[in-house]
Amino acid sequence: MTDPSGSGPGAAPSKGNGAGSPDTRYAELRRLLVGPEEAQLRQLQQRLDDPVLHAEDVSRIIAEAVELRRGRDTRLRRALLPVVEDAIRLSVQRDPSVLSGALFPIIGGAIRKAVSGALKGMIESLNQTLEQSFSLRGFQWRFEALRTGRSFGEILLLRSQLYQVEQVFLIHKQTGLLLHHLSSRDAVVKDADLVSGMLTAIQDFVRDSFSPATGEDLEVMQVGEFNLWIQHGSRALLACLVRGVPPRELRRIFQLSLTRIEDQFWRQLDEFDGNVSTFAPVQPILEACLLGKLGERPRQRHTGRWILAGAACLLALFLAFTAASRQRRWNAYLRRVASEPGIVVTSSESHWGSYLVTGLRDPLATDPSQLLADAGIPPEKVAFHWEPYQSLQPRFLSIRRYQAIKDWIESQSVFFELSSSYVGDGLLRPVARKLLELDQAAEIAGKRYRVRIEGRTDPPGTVSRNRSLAQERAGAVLSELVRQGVPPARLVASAIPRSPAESGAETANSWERRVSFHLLEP
Amino acid sequence: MIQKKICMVGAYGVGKTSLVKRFVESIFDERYHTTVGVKIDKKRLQMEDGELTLVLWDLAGDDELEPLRLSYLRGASGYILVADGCRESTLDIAGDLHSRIAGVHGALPFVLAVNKMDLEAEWRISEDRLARVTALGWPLIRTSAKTGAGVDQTFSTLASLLLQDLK
Repeated sequence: MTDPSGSGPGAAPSKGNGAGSPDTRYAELRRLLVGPEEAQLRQLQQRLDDPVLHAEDVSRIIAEAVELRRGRDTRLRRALLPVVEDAIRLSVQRDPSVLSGALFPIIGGAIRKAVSGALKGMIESLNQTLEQSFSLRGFQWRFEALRTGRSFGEILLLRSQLYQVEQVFLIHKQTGLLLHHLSSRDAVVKDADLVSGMLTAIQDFVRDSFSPATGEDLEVMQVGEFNLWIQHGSRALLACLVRGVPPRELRRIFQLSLTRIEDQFWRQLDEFDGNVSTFAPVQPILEACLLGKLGERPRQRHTGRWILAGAACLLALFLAFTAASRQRRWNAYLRRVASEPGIVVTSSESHWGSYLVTGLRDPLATDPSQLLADAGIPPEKVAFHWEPYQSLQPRFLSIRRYQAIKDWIESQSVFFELSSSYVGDGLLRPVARKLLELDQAAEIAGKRYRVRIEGRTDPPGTVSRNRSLAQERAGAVLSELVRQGVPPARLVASAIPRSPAESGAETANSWERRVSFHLLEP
Repeated sequence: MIQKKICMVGAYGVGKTSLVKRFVESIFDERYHTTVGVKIDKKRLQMEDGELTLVLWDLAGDDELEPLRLSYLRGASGYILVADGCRESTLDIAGDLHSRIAGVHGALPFVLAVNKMDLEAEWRISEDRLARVTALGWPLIRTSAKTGAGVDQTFSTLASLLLQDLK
């Protein structure tokens, strides 16, 4: 079929059938009916086929589409994840400075915080060590270590654990509302909801007032023996009230607990609408934070103190008692010395348990140092300074008199004629008188004595003759003295004959023909 | 059990603390206002759907000496604006606070309490002015901390708004 004139819309009707060929007419009809739509379709086709135009279209709606899809399910996220990961990897490979520059504000702060936390911990531990090494408590612990034979480190560990975590607050960071609260058995608990709110307010207050730029957090509050340690997470706070001296390790435990809670409950924390019952399952994690050993310890510590105080009292009592009894013994001793005849104590001093006694002492008087043993005082503790003097005590007078008579009597001799034992008349009267005086003096002085009458001869003569002659002479003197009133019990006669062998010279010697006296004292 | 943090804000001396005192028992002293700038109290309300605990942050009055710490409103579910019926300027301050809070924390449920309605003779805010406020859609309640009038209503109105928000 050829009809060159019959094609195209608006062409003139051809001859033959009067109105052109049916095809032409159909085409004409189609052009009239769907012409504009056809143009649109062509345009659409073009847009679909042309990548530039297509991209332009998608770019207009992609943001809305992503947002819509994100809300619907997680497929978009999952689909994008590998792409994002690859992109990050690629970015790092190409130029690490881009990503590190972008992340620095976040990571820089986090690293700074971590490093400063670690440094703070180190300084705290250094401080603690120094404090414990040089403080009074440190010395007490060292003493305890010495006393018990345990190492200082062991004592340090034992004693530093005097703490009790009394209350634990889990607080929603955004609202300051209390999510969960636990307290130990003996803790005094005020309304935890309000405490939690107030804690958050104080956090805000401190941050606003003192560190608005850095955004640092309040981490420690200390009142008396209570420490409030606050751990900051991204969504929650863990505030722990600790009584006593908490070890550094405790802070790490709190931080770990908070991290666990945030890991397990991040969705509930993010979507928190005030319904705190969703946080009931954190109970076991918080329970693990209620650590501490206070309670048993103080009693033990007090017992120790009581024992120490008691021991100190006993020691003081003992020392006082010893000192008093020592003083009593000393006073008794001084009285005893002062009462001794022939001793005058003028002063006594004591210096740190040693004594000095000064005074006058008759040489005949008892030696005071001999009395120390009786008094139970160590002799090396006492020094004496005595000035000699003569006492007028009757006994001492008698002793002196006795001594004088004794000396006199022993210097006396009664001389005889050759081979004679005749005692001249009245010759012995002075001796007899002195012997009677001696008897009196001896009685007062308390002396016991006997007078040995020693008969002597000169060398000439036989031994037996000389012995009998010596005995005769002694006997004659004894008889004469008895006759003159001297008690016979006081007298004893004895012969000391002079033998020729001894003398070596057999000459008569009037000096040796005599009787002498010697006092025998037991 | 649902807990909600709400704040009391308003000019100095409008009676915020007195309103709270009417409503709750507190463990904290009023000195907290001058020191920390906030005092926290708590009230349990029995609502239709269960118990609701309001944790009330009573913020120190806004004035030149002690500007309001907006950070204290962080995490709040709603707030009560308090004005003093005897001082018209306090209503302006309330309006100003409202826009400042909305600027920082977004639109939150709130109630306007115009306090001291017992002092009729000294009342200075015209009905016209109040009508204009109501026309803005602000929930307005006249209160008297002295007689207790409107106090419970103020808190329960806000509580219902908070729960609506929750649904």
